[in-house]
Amino acid sequence: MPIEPTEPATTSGTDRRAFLTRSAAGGALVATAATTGFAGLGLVAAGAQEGTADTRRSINQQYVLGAIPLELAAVVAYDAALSGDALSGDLATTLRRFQRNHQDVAADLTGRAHADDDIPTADPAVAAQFSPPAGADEAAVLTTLASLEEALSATHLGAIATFEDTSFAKVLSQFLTVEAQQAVALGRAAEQPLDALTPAIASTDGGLEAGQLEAGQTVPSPAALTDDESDEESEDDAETEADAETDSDDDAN
Amino acid sequence: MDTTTPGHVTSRRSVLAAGTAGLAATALLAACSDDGPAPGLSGTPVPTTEVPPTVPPRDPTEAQLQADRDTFATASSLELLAADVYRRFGVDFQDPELLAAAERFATDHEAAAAIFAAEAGDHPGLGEPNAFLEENQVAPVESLLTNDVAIADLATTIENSIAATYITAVGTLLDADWRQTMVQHGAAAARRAAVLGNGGTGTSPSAARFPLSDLIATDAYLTTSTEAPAEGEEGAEGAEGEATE
Repeated sequence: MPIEPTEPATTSGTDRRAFLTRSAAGGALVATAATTGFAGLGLVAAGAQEGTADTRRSINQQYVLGAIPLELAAVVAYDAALSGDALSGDLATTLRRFQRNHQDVAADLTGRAHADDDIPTADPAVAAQFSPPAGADEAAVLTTLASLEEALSATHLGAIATFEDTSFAKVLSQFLTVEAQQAVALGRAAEQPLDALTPAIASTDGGLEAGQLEAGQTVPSPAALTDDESDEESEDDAETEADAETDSDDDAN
Repeated sequence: MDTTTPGHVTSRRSVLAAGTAGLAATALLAACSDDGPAPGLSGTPVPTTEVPPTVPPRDPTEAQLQADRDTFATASSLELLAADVYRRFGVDFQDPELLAAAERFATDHEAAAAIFAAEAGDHPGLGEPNAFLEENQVAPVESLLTNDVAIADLATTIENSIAATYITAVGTLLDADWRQTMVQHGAAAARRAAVLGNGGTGTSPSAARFPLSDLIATDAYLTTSTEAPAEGEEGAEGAEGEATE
């Protein structure tokens, strides 16, 4: 691959967000056509089709019933993020592309479901958990969506070892890898530390299950599970903020 | 069709039911006739099986096991290539964040190389950066690696190659746990590529599936011949490592 020498690029906080907007403005936004596989075609796990009607579904088909609501929940969460005024036009375009990617994943998984199964809808608890609150600023929106991408990527990664069907495992690998990259893109734009975004290996921590969350229940982000230092810094920041508020109240009085 | 509206349920069964109503009526009329089997059928219909037979698992062949060892050896060589690039050229990053990252990425790649090497067995080419890619991907641009953009672009290409190659390996590896391990490393490589892409300013994916266009060339794979040596020859002479040529 030829590399054309150019002036060195300077990386700044503005530049980190700029790449999201730049890719939206100048890049080809590929509307990936939903791939519709035929349920059961080449997807049957060895030994899976015996016993009751439930176990006659392949492991793949069982998995997609749990994964579809999560991917659709992501679509809903992006809807919430895009409904506010926090995002610039170009950044919103990039987030719509990420949203469309989740829609495409859901469509692909839907095509692999068992013919007798009703297609599930978005998991409401997951959608609520990862939908940025109304009025959230740009950084909060990006951080929330980055956590969503981490959780989804970890979810699929955690399932890879359960599939005997290597072709499905490979497709799922492609999906989770993109979601990991989306987490990185959002995290970088939110100015998260680089080391937290580029671990030595991808983690299965923080994976989700449809129906796992109760209303109002929270799930820690994978970064929070492994980064004790950032937890301590968060506590220090919270204390500093509380002190500042106290000082502010004193001044007002 | 709006699949995102909460409460909306699409039933494949309802779709199928509408299309089969006509067929059911035809079958009913045919069943009422005493003129023999329904049109198109002869004899007694074959009884269907409620529960299809299972496929008994088979032990992997030596060729399959060797293919896995080849994959691990190749992966190890790719990791060492990436580490080598970061060690040799990453030190020239002007951006302090990329400079620090390059050092960490090199260490992570070296650790991964050791993990894969442990599974490769006694394999030609093991312990060295991938020679084919060093010759065909790194060497041709070495003189151009004088700025952050060029260095980051090369590193991005290698990371994308690792990710694409490991995802592809998921389709062939025999052990499910190793398939997951491969994806863990592949996804990590893709994350690094997302950071380093576009000359170090970062890139974001444009499609739902990670592209496999950066899959390494066939010649970059480390392979070992599994043919039995001719009588009188030592076993080692029957093995050849393409990457070491």
